[in-house]
Amino acid sequence: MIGSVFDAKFDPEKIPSIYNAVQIPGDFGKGRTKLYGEVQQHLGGGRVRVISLGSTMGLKRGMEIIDTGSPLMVPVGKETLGRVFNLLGEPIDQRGPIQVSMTKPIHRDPPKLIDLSAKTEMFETGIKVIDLLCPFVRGGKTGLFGGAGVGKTVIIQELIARIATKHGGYSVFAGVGERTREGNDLWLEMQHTKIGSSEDTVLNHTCLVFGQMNEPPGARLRVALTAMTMAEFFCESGVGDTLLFIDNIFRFSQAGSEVSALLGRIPSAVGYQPTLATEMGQLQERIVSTKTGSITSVQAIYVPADDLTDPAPAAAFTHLDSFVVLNRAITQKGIYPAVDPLESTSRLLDPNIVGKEHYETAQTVLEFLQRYNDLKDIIAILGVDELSKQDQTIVARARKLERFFSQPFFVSRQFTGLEGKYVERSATIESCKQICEGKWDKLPEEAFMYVGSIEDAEQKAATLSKGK
Amino acid sequence: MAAIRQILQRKNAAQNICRITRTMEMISTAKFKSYNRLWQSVSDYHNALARAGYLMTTGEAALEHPLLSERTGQKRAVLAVGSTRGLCGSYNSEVFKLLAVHLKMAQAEGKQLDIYLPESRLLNLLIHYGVTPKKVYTSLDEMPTYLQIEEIADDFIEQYIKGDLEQFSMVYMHYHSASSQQAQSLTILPLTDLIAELATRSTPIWPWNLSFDDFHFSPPMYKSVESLARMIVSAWISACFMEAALSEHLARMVAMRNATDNADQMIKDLTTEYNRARQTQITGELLDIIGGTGDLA
Repeated sequence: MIGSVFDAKFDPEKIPSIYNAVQIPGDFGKGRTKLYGEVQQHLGGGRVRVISLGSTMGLKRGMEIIDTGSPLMVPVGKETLGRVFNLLGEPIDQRGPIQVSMTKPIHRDPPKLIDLSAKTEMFETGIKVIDLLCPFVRGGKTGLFGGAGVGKTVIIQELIARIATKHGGYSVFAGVGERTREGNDLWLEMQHTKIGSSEDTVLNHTCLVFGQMNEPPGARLRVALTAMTMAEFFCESGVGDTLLFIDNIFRFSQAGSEVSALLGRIPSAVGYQPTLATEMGQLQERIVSTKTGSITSVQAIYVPADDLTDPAPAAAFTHLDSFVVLNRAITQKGIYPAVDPLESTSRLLDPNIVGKEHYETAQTVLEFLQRYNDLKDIIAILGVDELSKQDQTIVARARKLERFFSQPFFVSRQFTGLEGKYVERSATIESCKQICEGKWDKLPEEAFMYVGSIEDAEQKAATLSKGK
Repeated sequence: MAAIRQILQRKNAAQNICRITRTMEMISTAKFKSYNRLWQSVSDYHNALARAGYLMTTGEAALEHPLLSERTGQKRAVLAVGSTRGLCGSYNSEVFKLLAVHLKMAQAEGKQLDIYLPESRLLNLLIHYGVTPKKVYTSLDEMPTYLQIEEIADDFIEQYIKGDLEQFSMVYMHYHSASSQQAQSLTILPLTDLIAELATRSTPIWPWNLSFDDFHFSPPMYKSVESLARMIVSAWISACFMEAALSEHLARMVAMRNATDNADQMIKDLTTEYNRARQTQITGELLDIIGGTGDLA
């Protein structure tokens, strides 16, 4: 036994298959009577190497081990809605045991190529910067990249509040290696929030799966698969679009790296497991839209040391349709959501999909911001006055756009005191277009902070000047 | 690592800019000092002329001369002095702001405003805002020679005497002291306005307790009024140019000092960033090597 990896001996004729779950009965304290593990390697002579899926506290040599004969099975179906699970599929919300008609293994092959659907449709979020520059794909994958404390979790929760409350289908939330408190907050919040104008709470349409940072690496490595399995079932049973939120996919890679060396693999670049890309691929390839239904997923991805070239976020990059990159420099300006407009992008940003007007506005906005970015060093040294008049106008408008991309959130109302704003895509495009054209050059920059559409900015400017 | 090289590039760029701005600061400091000396030595002369003008216009028996009387032309002329070179902060935009006020005023009063200016950075601003100047003096240096000033002064005086011009004023950066300069306009013609404006400024000591009649002029005043008036006009045009140049160098000095400080700060930040990135890379490589050998052993 080393840490969360241990070896076990079986009858050489009856060794469990790779990825099979094994069970160790015994007293592990705090009422735990069983410990689950997952077979990773066969070492020969009936010995297998197992990742523990729970804390190994209380584990002793010579304990009895039982092969369950299959990978870990988790409950799926409508009964799972409204409940909170751990990775084993056990309810942890103290609302009694769950009765389900079906369980599914957490390991399975991704859907076949011919079963995939190739629809491309935009998914409106009502967040200006996202809708304009990195629109989400219905049935696609979106990654929220960001370093520590730039607001990934807040955006995920905001998206849940925005999308899940308007969404007809079911949602699955996977908490992977993040703060336990946040999971609790989310659960409580969901109990109160109603979907649209109906009496149904969001929680009744959602199932939550948590393997938070207090859990051993085995748990964090597999909890995403548990959630995935539940979401897949909704998708296959044809109940419509399913939303899958994962916070935070990096912890999945991190957990893999924690056990990798214990499994005897040689570390690869930056100390990650050599199988990083494979593991990520296996998970991500299952998040797809098929002919029977779609899974729209939003994944938060932690970026270690704000370095996007780090292997873990880089491995996730290739699988996504839309990238929302959060930037620390923007949070330091007090602009939330701190979406970096120049780094963020989406496969959808194409005139044939979002329409010519949207595409062109987005490109103009990017041009302004890019020019401003290029001039930043000069401004830092010599000041704005040394720029040509034309550049000064560009800088002024770019600064306005930058501020206009801040937006009050529904979930952060208690901190900011501002009501959340939902801005329709057409309003966003029109507003940005007018800013670029210089229609609002007269308004002060502050007027663009935390407003909805441009009309709000106009009103805010009026109140600002009255205040003076 | 591309990021490290980029940091290094930015740092080198900042260092180059820093070198230039530091040199420009030194040049401007030197020029400012020499102009300052010049300004102090001639300001006595300008003030003396202004005092003579004051006595001349406040005599009991008013002198009759076209330069002293008000005109009712449809045109106003403004000679605006901007900076000859860039990199001097908001110097030009402040001058332009004042010029814009003149333009608006003229428009409101239904007068035509002719803008004259020496070739300067101000011209770019005018072009950007779609204002066409009446005339651009291309041969003027930042400190025009006496003859050039004379020529300019004669031109405006002639227009004024002919009755085309209602008013002629200068728009320039007034040098009040080393710590305060601001864009200002000074009405030169009619001369009475100039004297009135100068008399309300505090700098020269005005002959309040004296009057025109206390003096005995030889040749008599009515004979010398023309040449005195011309002297005053060209002297104050030249004074405006001098103050503008003085302010320009001071503005550039301040702007360049700030730029150098900013660049220094940026170099410092980039050095820290570079060192940190380099150290991270070294740590990463070391970990890879140690991890690799540890596993192979």
